[in-house]
Amino acid sequence: MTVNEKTAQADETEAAADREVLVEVKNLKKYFPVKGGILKRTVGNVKAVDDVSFKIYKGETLGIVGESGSGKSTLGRMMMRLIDSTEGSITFKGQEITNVRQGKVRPLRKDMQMIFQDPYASLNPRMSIGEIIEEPMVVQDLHDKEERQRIAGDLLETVGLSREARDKYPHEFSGGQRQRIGIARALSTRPQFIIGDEPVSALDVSIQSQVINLMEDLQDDFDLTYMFIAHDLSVVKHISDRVAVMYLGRLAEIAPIDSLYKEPLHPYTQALISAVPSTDVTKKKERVVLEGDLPSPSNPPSGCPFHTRCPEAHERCRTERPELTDIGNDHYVACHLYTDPETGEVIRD
Amino acid sequence: MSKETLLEVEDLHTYFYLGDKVAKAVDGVDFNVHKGETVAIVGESGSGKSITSLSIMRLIPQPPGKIVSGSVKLEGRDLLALSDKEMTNVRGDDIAMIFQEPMTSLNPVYTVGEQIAEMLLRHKKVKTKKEGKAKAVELLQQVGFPRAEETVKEHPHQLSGGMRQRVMIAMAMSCDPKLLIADEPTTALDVTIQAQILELMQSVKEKYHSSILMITHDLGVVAEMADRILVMYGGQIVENTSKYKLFTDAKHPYTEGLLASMPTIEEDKERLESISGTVPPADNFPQGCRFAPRCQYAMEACTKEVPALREVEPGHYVRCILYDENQGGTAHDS
Ligand SMILES: Nc1ncnc2c1ncn2[C@@H]1O[C@H](COP(=O)(O)OP(=O)(O)OP(=O)(O)O)[C@@H](O)[C@H]1O
Ligand SMILES: Nc1ncnc2c1ncn2[C@@H]1O[C@H](COP(=O)(O)OP(=O)(O)O)[C@@H](O)[C@H]1O
Ligand code: SF4
Ligand code: SF4
Ligand SMILES: [Mg+2]
Ligand SMILES: [Mg+2]
Repeated sequence: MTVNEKTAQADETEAAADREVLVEVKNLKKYFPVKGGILKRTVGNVKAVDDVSFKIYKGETLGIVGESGSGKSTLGRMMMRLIDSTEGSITFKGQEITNVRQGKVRPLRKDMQMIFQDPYASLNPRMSIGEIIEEPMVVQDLHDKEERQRIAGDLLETVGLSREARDKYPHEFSGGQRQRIGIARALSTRPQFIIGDEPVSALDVSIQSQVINLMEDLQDDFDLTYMFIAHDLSVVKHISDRVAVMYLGRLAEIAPIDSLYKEPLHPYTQALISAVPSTDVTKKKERVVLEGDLPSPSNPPSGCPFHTRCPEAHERCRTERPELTDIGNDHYVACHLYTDPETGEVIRD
Repeated sequence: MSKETLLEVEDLHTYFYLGDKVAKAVDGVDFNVHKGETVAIVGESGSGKSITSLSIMRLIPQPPGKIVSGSVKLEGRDLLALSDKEMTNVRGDDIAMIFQEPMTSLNPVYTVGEQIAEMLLRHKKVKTKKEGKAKAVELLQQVGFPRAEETVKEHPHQLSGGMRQRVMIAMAMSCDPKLLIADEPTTALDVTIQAQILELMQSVKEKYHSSILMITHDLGVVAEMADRILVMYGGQIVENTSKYKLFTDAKHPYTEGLLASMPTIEEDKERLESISGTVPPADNFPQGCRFAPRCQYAMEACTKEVPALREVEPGHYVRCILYDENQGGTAHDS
C-alpha cells in the first residue's frame, strides 16, 4: 500500500462518520467505437469517459465542469443507465447497478431522475403537460389515475406554475417554464438523486436565477442529492458543495468549492477559473490564457492528457499518466506537481 | 481616446410583419459609437440586439422585416439612403461582421485559403488568386495559426469552433474595416477558447484602430471587453453608460435586476435575486414601460407612456420615470 492509499483510507474513515455515500462510481469507462473505411470497421475508440472514480454524498450537490466533449453528459448518462458503460462500476445506495439489465432499469428510475439542457427538445410536443408529468409515475405503476393527476397539479404549483397548466402543451410555454415542467416531471416519482445536465445553460440570466433558486428550494424540501453538470463555472460555484473538473474523459481535480475556487491545484483548473470573465471592474484580473484547442478524445495525448496545453508540463507528464490523488482535506488532484516522482508521496507546500 | 463619432444610430425602428401581427424587434434605438471605442449591447434573447446590428448592416430579411424609420450614419453618411450596390461596398470595406456560429458564414466546399482569397479579390485587396492565397497565409498567422500554410488548405469542418472564429476574424479584419460588429462571437465556445478569442479581438482592434460593436448576453464578457454598455429590453435601450458606471452604479431597475440575478465567480451570494416573469414578446409589448410587469418599483404612471431615455448624469442615460426630473429622483436610490 502506498502512502497515498493510506492517507486516503484514514480520511475516508473520518469522513464516513458524518457523510453517507449515496452514489459511487469506480473506474468508470465509456469507449465509443470509431468506424472507418468502406467496411465500416472499428478503427479506434473515442474515450469519452476514461477511468473515473468519485463518490456523491447524500444531500450534497456535486458540480461537474469541463469543456465541451470532456465527457460530462456521457458520465451522467451512464450513471442514469441510459447507456451501458464499457468498464467499471456504479453503486447506488450500496447496490451495484452497473450490470442491471436495460429491461430491469425501471425500478431505479424511481429513485434517480435526470433534467436535460434543452427545455425545447426534452418535452414531447404531442403530450399535455399533465401527461408529461404523470408519465414517470405511469411507467413506475405508482398511484391511481386520480392521485397522479393530483400530484401533477401539486408539482406544477411547487415549481411555480398554475395547476391549469396541466391541460396545456409544451409550445405554450417559455424556455424557463418548460424547464420548470422538466423539473416537475423529474420530481414526480419522488427520487432521491437528480442529475441535471446543463439544466440552466439555455436560459437567460433572469430566468436562470429563477430555476437555480427553485432547484435549491426543492433540494431542501425533498431531501435531494444533485449532480449538476454545467460549463458555467460561476453557476456551478453557486449551486455546488463540491466540484469535479473533467478533461478529456478524466477527472483532473475534485474538491469542495471553497478550496477549488480559492486554491485550484490542477493547472487546468487554474486556467479554467482564470478564463472566466470577471465582472469586478474595480480590479484588474491576472489571466492565464491557454494555448491551443482541446485534443481529440479519439487520440488523446500520452501521459497526462493535459500536457499539450499545460504551462507546467515537464518530461514526466509526457510519458506517465497522473492518477487522482488524495492530498488531504477532501481535495483530490491528478497532476505530477503534487506527487514525488520517486516515492509517490504527496507534495504540498 | 478620441471622441470623434464613427457610427450614429438615431431613432431606429425595425419591424417584422407577420400576418396581422407586428413584431417591433427594434423600436426607437439611439446610440453612437466613437472611433476606437468598444460598445457592447447586452440583453436577454429576443430583446432586439441582433436585429439592431443587422439593421446597421442592412441585412434584414425583407419581407417580413423592414427598417421602418430612423437613420444610421457612418462618418456622417446615411447608410439607409445608399443604393444596394453602395451598401455592398460598405459591408466588408467599412463595416465587417462576425457571428456566433462561423460555420454558417463559411462555405463548406471551399478551403479556408480559397475563401479568404476570393474575398480579398472581391474587395480588390489583391489582383490575383495566387496573391490572395499568399495573403491568406499571412492573415491567418496574424490571428495565431501556427501552421497557417497547412490551415489554408483545410476545409472549415476540419477546424474547431475556436479556429473557425479566428478565420472569421482574419477575414473581417483583412479589409481594415472602421467598425467590427461581433454578434455573440464567443457564445458557442468553451471558456478557455473564449478567453483566446476575446484577447485576439482586443489585439486586432488596437492594431487596426477600429471600433467594435459587440453583442452578447454575457455580462462577464461585457465587463472584459466594453468601454460603454447599452442595455436592451423590449426593442429599446433602457440604459447607456460606461462599463465602470454600469457595474458600480446601475440605475435602471432591469439592469439592477440582471446584475443581482447573476452568480459571479468572485462573490458568494447566499441566494440569487431573480426578476419575476418573462421577457415580453415583440408582437405584444405591454403599454407604457415595457419592463413594468416585472418591475418591483412599478407604479401607475409607468403603464401610461414609454419613458424617454434621459441623460441623468453626463454620459449616463436611463429610460425610467424614477429618474424623470419632474419626479425629482424620488424613491429610488441605489
Ligand atoms: N454516441 C456517441 N458515439 C460516439 N461518440 C460519442 C457519443 N456520445 C458522445 N461521444 C463523444 O464522447 C465525447 C464526450 O461527449 P459528451 O457528450 O459526454 O461531452 P460533454 O462533456 O457533455 O460536452 P458538452 O459540454 O458539449 O455537452 C465527445 O468526444 C463526443 O463526441
Ligand atoms: N425573421 C424574423 N421574423 C419575425 N420576427 C423576428 C425575426 N427576427 C427576429 N424577430 C423578432 O425580433 C425580436 C428581436 O430579435 P433579435 O434581435 O434576434 O433578438 P436578440 O436580442 O436575441 O438578438 C424577437 O422578438 C424576435 O422574435
Ligand atoms: S501532470 Fe504535468 S502536464 Fe499534467 S497538469 Fe500536471 S504539470 Fe501539467
Ligand atoms: S418606468 Fe416604472 S416600471 Fe419602468 S423601470 Fe422605471 S419604475 Fe420600473
Ligand atoms: Mg453535454
Ligand atoms: Mg441574437
